[in-house]
Amino acid sequence: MISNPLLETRNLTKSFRGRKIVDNLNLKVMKGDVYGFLGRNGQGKTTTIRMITGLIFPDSGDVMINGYNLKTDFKRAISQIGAIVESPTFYDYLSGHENLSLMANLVPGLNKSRIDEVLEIVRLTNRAKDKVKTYSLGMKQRLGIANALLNNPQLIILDEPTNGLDPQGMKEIKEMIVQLSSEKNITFFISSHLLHEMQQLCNRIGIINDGKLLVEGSIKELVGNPTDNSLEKLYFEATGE
Amino acid sequence: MMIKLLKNELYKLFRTKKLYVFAAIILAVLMLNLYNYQPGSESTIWTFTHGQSAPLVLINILSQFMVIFIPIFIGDSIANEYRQGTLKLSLLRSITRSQLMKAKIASLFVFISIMVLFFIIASYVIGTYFLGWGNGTEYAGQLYTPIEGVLLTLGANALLILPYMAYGMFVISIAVLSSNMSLAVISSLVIMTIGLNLNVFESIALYSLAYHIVYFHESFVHTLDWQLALQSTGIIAIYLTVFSVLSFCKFKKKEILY
Repeated sequence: MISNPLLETRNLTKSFRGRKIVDNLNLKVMKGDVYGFLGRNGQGKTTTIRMITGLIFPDSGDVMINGYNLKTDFKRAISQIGAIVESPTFYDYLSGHENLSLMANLVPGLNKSRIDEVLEIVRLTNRAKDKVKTYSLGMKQRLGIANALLNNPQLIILDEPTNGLDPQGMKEIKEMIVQLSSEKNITFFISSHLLHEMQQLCNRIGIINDGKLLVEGSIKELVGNPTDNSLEKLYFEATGE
Repeated sequence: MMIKLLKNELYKLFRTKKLYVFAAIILAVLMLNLYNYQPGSESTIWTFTHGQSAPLVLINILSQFMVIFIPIFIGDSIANEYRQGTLKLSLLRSITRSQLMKAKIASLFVFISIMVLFFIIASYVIGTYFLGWGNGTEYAGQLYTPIEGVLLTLGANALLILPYMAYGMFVISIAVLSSNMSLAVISSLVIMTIGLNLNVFESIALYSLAYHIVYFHESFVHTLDWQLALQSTGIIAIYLTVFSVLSFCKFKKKEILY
């Protein structure tokens, strides 16, 4: 049985100052995927994510989230996802709990106990009352994931989630993604330029270069029996670098 | 959802220091004006002798400070949130941009109302402390009974909320267009300062928002010129409408890049 994609972009295109940043992008993320959206910096990953989350508007093309068109059915489409776009930003004069409380206000019908639940999931319960300005980047990233989890989303979008983290922070985030994917059946769409990490984490990937999607598919299908650097090899073959 | 968005905006307002700093500035300025105040002496432009007159006679002090406070409040609420990336926190939820903009405008109204109310209370308290309550409210050469005086005071200050809001909408449109707090604050202040200086030219003063921020209440509570009052209200309503439409349209299409 072929299921419908949870996230789909159709001919998504965006230009800035006459330069095409995203060019006719068609990608599909299936339910249960941990999808790695790979590409060097400046290839259009964040622009794509901004369009998927409605923060910027495509010149042409559509974003479908769980069957809802983001353009025509924004509220229903956006309610399916949780996201961290670029770096996790919060009101740093408020505590982690207060920040989540403000965001929980914007999720219809959400029980306030969900805030404690998500803080527990990201292991921030003991720092929840501290102001965000005292948090490390890793803690902010975890708070970002907690925020993304608030509305019980089907899909979580993370933009370079391990950027700037120390090895311990990276490990924690990766473990969290694996755990949420397997235990809560959450689908992940993760942008990154760290090929080795993505190979460990993802079941499917898409490679973007100069705004174009060059390759998309399951890692198994694309590289056969994965070795340590097989994704790297595929990436360089695809991009011709 | 609108109520919840407004609740969020107000929560942030009360948790930041600016509201309390603004209140402290108003308090300090009132103290400086009334400490050692000698009615009619050469060192002062005022002649009132009853403390209850303070919030009406000193009403322009609030106007002058609101010209500064409003851009700072809006710059932080819109341009600064955009730059710091916190604006997208709300936009990633099931709300429309129009709803968020409405909540920001409603919080501006609450902010202005709080400042006006604080000014009235603080002026009464400090005026009475230094001069005593007195037997009436003096305003523009007339003595009103205390009850009339209180009503006049509340009315005049409440009337000024309208031009404050129009000015706020003007600043919001700059903040949405520029996405930069410093630029929003400085350009609003520069334009308003130029406007205040142009008030000497009577032929254009009536059409200037800077004029109405200072004098809007006068045709209602002092000269009782109802034609002028209606005309002034219309002009302010035009400012409000134009800048509201501009702000909503621009915000709806704004690309959130931070």
